[in-house]
Amino acid sequence: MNRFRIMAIWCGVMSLLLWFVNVPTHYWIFKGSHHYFTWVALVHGFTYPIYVLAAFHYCLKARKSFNQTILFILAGTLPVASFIAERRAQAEFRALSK
Amino acid sequence: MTKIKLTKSALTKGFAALLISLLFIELGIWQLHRAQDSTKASHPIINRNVASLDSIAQAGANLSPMAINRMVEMTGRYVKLYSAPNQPVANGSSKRKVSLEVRILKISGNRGILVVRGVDSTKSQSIGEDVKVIGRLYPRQSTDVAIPAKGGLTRLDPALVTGDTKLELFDGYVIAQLEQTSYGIAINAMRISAPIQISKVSGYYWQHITYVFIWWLLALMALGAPFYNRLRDKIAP
Repeated sequence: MNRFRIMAIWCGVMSLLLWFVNVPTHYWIFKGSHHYFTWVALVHGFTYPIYVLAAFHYCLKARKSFNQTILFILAGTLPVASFIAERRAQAEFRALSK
Repeated sequence: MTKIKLTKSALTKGFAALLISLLFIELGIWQLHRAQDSTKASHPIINRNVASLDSIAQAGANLSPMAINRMVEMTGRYVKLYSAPNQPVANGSSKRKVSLEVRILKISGNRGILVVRGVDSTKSQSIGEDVKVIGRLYPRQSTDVAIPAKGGLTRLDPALVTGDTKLELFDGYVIAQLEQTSYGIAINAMRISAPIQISKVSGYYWQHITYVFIWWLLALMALGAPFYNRLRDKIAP
């Protein structure tokens, strides 16, 4: 659970940077500053597989259906979706703990 | 040991998983090629030998990274004339913007290539005979540098002139450094320099490698998808 939460938050932050800083400076605005942000795509690329494995492991443990697992894995690619997934997972965990 | 029932549904799921997995593997291979291309493009191999255009490129096909920046020669006849305004040209360490004279050179086999002859002059030369052209081959430009006008090219891209000719065009364009008639007489023009272009494949080597890893990880997971429920029941009964 904690592994998934950490990776979901990490991926969410990296996705936000990727979509709202890296991509715009590459194609649309302040193009000269793009070289400062090349690390974002690299770091996101290298850490997303860890998120995928963490999400997969969490979904197995939480007995998620196959379709839900796919959605949890895809959540790591969208800026806020992984935050939503993390909140949902935590809410489910709390509900089970009560 | 539990037996796997080979029902029609199980076979369909297995086949679908295999197809999706193959697709992901192929995407990984594509990214691997892009990683290799990005390395080649950012470290161009300078080959000073003049090659025949036919030996390094094909009409109607994308230019390979190895063909870019090569000095090429071809013989043919000019069939169309264009002007490419507002083109940045190296002028010492700075760049100036000029209008370039661009022609389609028709070569054997009903094929053609864009040739930049030099700076556009108000009085265009009439060249009605066969011409041997030696110049450097460049990839097509992808962004417009001028506003559209009749007879004008907004960028150096053969895609813009396909409607004007029935020739099968080569990708990219050549900046001519020498033009000769069939008698070996040089044709004058206001030539522009043809420096080695450091082109870039979008993205970085390690970025593409991460995508390879991701696609192949997803391929592995797709292969395991038909066994997902079994695995879940085993891990969290």
